[in-house]
Amino acid sequence: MSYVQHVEQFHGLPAFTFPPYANPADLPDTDAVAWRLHCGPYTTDEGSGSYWKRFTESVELEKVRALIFGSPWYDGDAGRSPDELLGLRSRFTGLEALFLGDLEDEEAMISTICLGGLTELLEAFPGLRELAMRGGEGLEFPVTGHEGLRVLRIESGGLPREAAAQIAAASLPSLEHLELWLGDDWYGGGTRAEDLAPLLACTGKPALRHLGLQNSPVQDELAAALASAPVVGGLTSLSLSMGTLGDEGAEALLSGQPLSHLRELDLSHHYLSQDMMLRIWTELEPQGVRVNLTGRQEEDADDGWDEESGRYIAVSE
Amino acid sequence: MSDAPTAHDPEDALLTSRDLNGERPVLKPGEQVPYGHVLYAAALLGRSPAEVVTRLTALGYADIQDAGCPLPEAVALDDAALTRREGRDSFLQRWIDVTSPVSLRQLLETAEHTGRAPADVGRRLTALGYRLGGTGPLPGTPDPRDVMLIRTDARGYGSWLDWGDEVSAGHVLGAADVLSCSPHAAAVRLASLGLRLPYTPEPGDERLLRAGDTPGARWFGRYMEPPLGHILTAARETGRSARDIVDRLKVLGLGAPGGSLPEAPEDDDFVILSENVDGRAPWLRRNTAVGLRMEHLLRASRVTGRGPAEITARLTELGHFLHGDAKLPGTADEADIRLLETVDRSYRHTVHLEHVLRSAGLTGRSPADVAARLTELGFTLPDEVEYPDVRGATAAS
Repeated sequence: MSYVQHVEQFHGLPAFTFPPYANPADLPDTDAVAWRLHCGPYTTDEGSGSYWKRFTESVELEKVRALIFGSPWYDGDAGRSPDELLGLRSRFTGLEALFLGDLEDEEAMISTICLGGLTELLEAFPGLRELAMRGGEGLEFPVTGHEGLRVLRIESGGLPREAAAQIAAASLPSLEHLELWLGDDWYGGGTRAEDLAPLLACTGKPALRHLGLQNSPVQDELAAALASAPVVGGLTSLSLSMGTLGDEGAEALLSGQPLSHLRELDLSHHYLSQDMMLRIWTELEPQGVRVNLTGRQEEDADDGWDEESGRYIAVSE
Repeated sequence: MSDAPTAHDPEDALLTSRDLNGERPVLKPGEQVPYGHVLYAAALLGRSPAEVVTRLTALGYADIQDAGCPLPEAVALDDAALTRREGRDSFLQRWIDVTSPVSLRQLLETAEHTGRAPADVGRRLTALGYRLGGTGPLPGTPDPRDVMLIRTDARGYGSWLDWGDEVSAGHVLGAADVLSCSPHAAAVRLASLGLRLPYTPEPGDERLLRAGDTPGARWFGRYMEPPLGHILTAARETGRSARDIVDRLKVLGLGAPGGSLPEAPEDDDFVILSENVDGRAPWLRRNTAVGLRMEHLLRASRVTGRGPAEITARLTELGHFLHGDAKLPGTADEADIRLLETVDRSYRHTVHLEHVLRSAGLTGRSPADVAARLTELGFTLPDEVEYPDVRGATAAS
């Protein structure tokens, strides 16, 4: 199963792709779906200008709750911010959720999806509650943050280290759910635990209940940092999935601060030994922590590419 | 070929500019001035096309496209707009060529960007001296989707159906899928555009082609195989036989569900053929790779009161199969159903420690208990592990 697929559900709503040359009579109720805006790649497809115009004339924009942007707004050839959305900010009064860069591998590899700066977007939509993104190149997140944002999720094969640090330092007083796919430095990532210091120290995000520091080639280092991080005390769920977690990181977690207050610990896609898997399960599950240990990976002993570990994160290129 | 001299008169500048905006680029004197350019310039300047031709000639443009008919005395701007091509590939050809028959694609593109009905566009283009490539009647209502309905290949510069072409049933399904519209509505519209379908659209097709209520997935698409539950339900609702429904769906371009069609379906058939064992869509799809899920058999058994073996036998008659490794329990136990809900492995795959631990956590059973029961149900657990007997504290949710 690929981790990078078109969004089917977003903000609790089924995703619906606004069709080309749409007939308003065939469209679902405006507030019943998350509207996906995505144009075909060919010159024979409806152009994005006409498509966007038709969307804004066919749908009651005030009732739109969630928008998902695909091509051409974020594809590799022509990545750009949805300026059209900013231009109509006064009409999208009910907008609660945005997904930027909903593209699959066949359309654009995740490492090629450019995101850019988010300052203007966050300022334009104070009512935003959920923001999700796919990609990472060029991402800049304002440290001033956002008052109302509750969910922030970034799917990346290489989240710029600076962007991760900006998010870690950002003021997000309402944020309950934070999920970061950190990615490989070969594809623009490279985040280390030290970059996330404000986040780990529980600064600026008092409402945080779920933290995902995922898809990292330094997953053991992150686990060790979390073992004593103040942020963990306030969480109900923690994910260290999709990365290169091995026995060393798991040992640090188990020997660190208590985790028994967690309801879920997601370690899926890992490099743990069977003994360590059994140890984690028998120590945590009886305490009420539901542990996900699926997706066990085998180290590639003969690999000449990453001789250091032979381990791979789930999503990179 | 030299560039046109700079026109100092604003009207001349507009007349000679390629985009009729008074800006560069300008038409080159040696190049043919398209007929559409003449009409559009006349409309913009409020002059007759003859006056435009005279002025262009005076400005050194010797080759002005001849429509093969007398020039209209006057042309309104909204009529002239019909001759102008728009869209992402309009850089290839700015004006509809008056010397060639107007293709169906050109007419429908024009109808789309002017918001007019195809019949109206056809009449007006003819009045301006254009020849249509076809003679049949055209729809009197606009529909912006028309040009996509006739597109047969999106790649490159694309290809389109033309006047009177034959349309395959698969094309109807594919076009409707791209446009998220009813395949029946697409077929009706294509027929009204003068295209030849391999069948006559019938109002009853709408029901047969409807796959569900999920936005974006309301209709069966190309290469799909409607599940048997859909066939039987449609037959029951319409009073037609299941065979008749299957035959009609084949005509409409869809595959057959496989297996034998029951002449007289049992009431329980609707239950056991439904994903949620409630007798309604979504319907169970045949999985020819891994076969039936044990969980479904046990749930169907609980709902119908029939034994798992009897359910399996009936589903086998209806075209499904159960993997040879599966070991059916004599009765359907609720605890087995809860356990199997947590197993995302088929009988073609092995079940490893990671899966056992996940199922144990989700069901509140011990890994040892989970491993033993999955083994009894026929799953293969190859890991040489001593599964712990301790239970998790979290109940299934």
